[in-house]
Amino acid sequence: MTVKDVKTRDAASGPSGLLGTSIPNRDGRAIVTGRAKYTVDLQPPRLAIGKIYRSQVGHALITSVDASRAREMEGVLDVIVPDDVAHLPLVSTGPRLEMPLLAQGKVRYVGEPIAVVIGETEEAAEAALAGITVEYENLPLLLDPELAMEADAVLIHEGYDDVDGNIASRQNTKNGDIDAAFANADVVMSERFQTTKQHAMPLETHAAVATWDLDADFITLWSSTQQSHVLRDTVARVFSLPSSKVRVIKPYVGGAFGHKTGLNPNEAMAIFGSKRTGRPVKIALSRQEEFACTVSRNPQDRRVEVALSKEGRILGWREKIIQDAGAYAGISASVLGLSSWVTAGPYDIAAIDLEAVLVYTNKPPSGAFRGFGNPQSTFARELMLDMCAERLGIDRVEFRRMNVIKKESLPKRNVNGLLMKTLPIEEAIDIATEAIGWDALNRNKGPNTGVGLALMIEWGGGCRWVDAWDSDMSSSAVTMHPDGSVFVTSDAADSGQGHATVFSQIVADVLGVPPDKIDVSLADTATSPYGLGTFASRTMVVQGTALFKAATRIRDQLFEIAAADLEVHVDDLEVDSSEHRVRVKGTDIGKSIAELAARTHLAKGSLPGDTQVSALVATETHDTPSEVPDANGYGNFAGN
Amino acid sequence: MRELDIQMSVNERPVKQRIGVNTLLRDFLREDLELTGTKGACDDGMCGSCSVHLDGEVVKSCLVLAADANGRSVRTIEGLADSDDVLHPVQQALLDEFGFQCGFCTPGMAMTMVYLLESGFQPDQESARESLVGNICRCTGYDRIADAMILAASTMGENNA
Repeated sequence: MTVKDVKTRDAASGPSGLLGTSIPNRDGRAIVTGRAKYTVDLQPPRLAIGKIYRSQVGHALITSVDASRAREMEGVLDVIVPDDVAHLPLVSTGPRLEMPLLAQGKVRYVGEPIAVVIGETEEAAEAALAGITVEYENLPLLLDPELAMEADAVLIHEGYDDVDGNIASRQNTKNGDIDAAFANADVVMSERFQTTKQHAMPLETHAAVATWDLDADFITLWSSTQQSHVLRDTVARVFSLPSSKVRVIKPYVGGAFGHKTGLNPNEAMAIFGSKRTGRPVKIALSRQEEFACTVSRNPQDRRVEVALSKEGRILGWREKIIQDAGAYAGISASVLGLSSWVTAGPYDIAAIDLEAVLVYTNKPPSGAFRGFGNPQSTFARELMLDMCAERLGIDRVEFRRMNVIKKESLPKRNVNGLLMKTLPIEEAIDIATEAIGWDALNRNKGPNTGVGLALMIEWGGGCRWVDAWDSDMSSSAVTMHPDGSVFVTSDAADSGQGHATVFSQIVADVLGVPPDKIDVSLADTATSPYGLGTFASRTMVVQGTALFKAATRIRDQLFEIAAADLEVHVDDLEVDSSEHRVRVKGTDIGKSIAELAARTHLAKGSLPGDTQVSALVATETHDTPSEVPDANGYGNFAGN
Repeated sequence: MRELDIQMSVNERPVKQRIGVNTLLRDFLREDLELTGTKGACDDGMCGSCSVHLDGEVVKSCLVLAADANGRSVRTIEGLADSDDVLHPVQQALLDEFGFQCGFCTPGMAMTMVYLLESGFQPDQESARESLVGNICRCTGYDRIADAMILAASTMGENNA
C-alpha cells in the first residue's frame, strides 16, 4: 500500500453514488484557461487604485501626519489620513474592539496603516506615498512576550478593564486531579518548546474592490475573503449602514488558509476611498505588505511537565503557555483557547492543568491560520511524547498505542470534554506506519535524518470556541425552476476546495437532477443565505448538511404530488437519478422531475387536494451540536 | 513618464500600444490588454505565476519590460487552447489529474509545463517537480501537478507520433 492508495480510498456514496466519486471540478475549466476572475483581476470602468502608507517604526506616538505634498502630486485623487477616519469605530476579528482602521495617535507595529493614497493608477498612488511625512516619538519596542509581561513594561494598549499590563487575556484549563497525578508519578519529565510566526502566504494577496453608490447609499465590495456575511455585517457597522445596504461578493479566491477572515484595513479603505472619490477603488496588497503586515500564526512558548508511571501511562499533563498576540489580539484568544483544548490530543489522560496567557507585543497581529492553535499544541505534545518514551525505554509507537483512547471505551469524553464518538486512531497508526514503511525507514535512516510520527485530533466546525458566537451555523438554499433545473447557493466561500462541485453532487443525489442542470453560486450576500463562512474544515459538515436538508425539503414537496398521482404513500417513493424522475420503489412506474416541477409552479388544477401553486425554494440552516466551553475549558468543540 | 509606441504579436494577434517606458510586460498584458490569466503574486520573479512565453522561451513577465517585448511574439494562457472545445493537452491534463486547487498559480504553471514539454522534456514525478521549481503553489503539495505534467507529456507524445 502506498500513501496515494490511502488518500484515494472510497468515500461513502449517496443514493445515486455521485457523492464520494470523482467528477470534473466545476471551476476547473475557468482555472486552466485563465478565465477565472480573482479580485485582483477585476478592472471596472474608472477604477482608481489605493496604496497604503505604513508605519516605519514598531512602537511610537505619532506627532504629525503631513500629506499636503502628496495631495498635489500628479494622478492623486485623494489622500486619507488618520483624522479622516477618527469618527469610524475600532474593529477586531475577536471580542475586544481595539484596532483603528488607520493608526490614531500611536503605531504598534512596523507596517501599521497610517494613510491611504487613492490614485488614477497604481504608479501614481505609489509615487505619492513619498509625499507623505509622518513624525514619530518613539516608545520602547516590545518584541519578546516575556519582556512585555514584566510589571514595568510600557503599555501597548491602555484603557481596557480586562487587559492586565500587556496581558490581553488569561485562560486556565484545569480538569481532573492534577495534584494526585503528579504525587503518584514514578517519573516527571519537563521540557520547553517554542514555535514561530509562520505566514499563511496565499498566492493571491489580500485584495478588495469597492464601490459606494452615493445615490442609493449602497456599498458593493468584491473581496478575497472567507466570510462574506461576517464581513458584510462588519462593514455595515463600521460605516453605520444597515446590512441591507452592503453587498459582499467573493470572486475566485487565490488561497486563504484562515488568513482572509474578518475585516481587513484594505477592504475598509477601498470602501471609504470610493465614498470620497466617487470611483470604484481597488486596494491589493503587495507581497511585501502581505508578508510583513497581515495576520500570521501565533508564536507560542510552551513549558511542559508530564507525570508518568514507570509502566508507561501518562497520568497528568501540565503546561504554562505564553502566546504572542502581536499588536492587536483579534481572534488570538480563541486560537489560544483551542490550542489548550487540543493539548490532550487523542490520548487518555486523566488530569490536565494548563495556564495560558495571551500577550501583546509590537509585532504584526497574529491569529487564524490553518489549524488554529492545533499545530503549536501538537508540535509540543508529540515531541514531548518521544522524549517520554525514550526516557522510559519504550518504543515511541508502542508508547502512543498504550496511551490513546481505546475504541472499546467509546463514546467517551476526553479530559477537556471533547466527545469522541468514533476514533479510528489505532487503525490510523497501523495504516500510517505501513504506508510510510515505518520499520524500514527507522532501520535504514542515514546520518542526520529524522523519522517521526505524530497523532492529532482534527475537527470540522467549531465556531463556539470563538468568543463572539454561541453558534456554529451556516445555511444553504435550493431553488428548483419550473423546468426541473436547480440553483444552489450558500455562504460557503470556496478558495479551491471544490465546494461547487461537491454541492452539485449532494443535490444531484437527493433530487435526481444531473450536475449539468445544477447552477451553484456561493458567498454573495445578495443571493446567499446567512452563515459564518468557510474555515475550520467546516464547509462539508455545516453548509453541506444544510444543503442536504434543503434539497430534501424540495424532494419531499415533489414526493407529495407524485404520491397522490400514483396513489401510493410517500414512503414508497424514491428518486431515480438515471431517469431523473420520482419512482415507486422497485417498479418502473414514476413521474419526471421536470413535469412535477412545472406543475408545482404553473398548474394548480393538477395538484392534489387543496395544494397551492408555489415556487420550489428551500433554505436550511445547520448548527453543529458543539458546546460553549465552561470556565475550565471543558466542552465539546468539534462539530462532527 | 516617458512613453513609447510598441507593437508585438500576442497570442498570434498583432498589438500596437503606447506605453510608459517602465511598464512591466505583466502589467501590460493584465491591464492594457485585459489578459488577466497571467497573474502576479510576488513582484520579484520568485513565484512564477506571471510566466508567459516570449519568442518561444518561458519568462517571468514581472521581470521583463513591455518595451523589451517590442517586435517580438508573446504567448499567454489565453493563447494555449485551440478553441473553447479543444484545450491544450497540458490544460486538459491539469483538469483530468485535478492538478490545481485555488488555481491562482495554474496559468503560470501551465505555461512553464508547455514550454518544457514542447522542448521534448520527458518527466517523471521527481523530475517534474524539480522542473517546476520556479513556480510556487501554496495549495496542492505539487503531487497532482506533477501527475498532470506526466500525463500531458504522454498525450503530446501520442499527438506527435
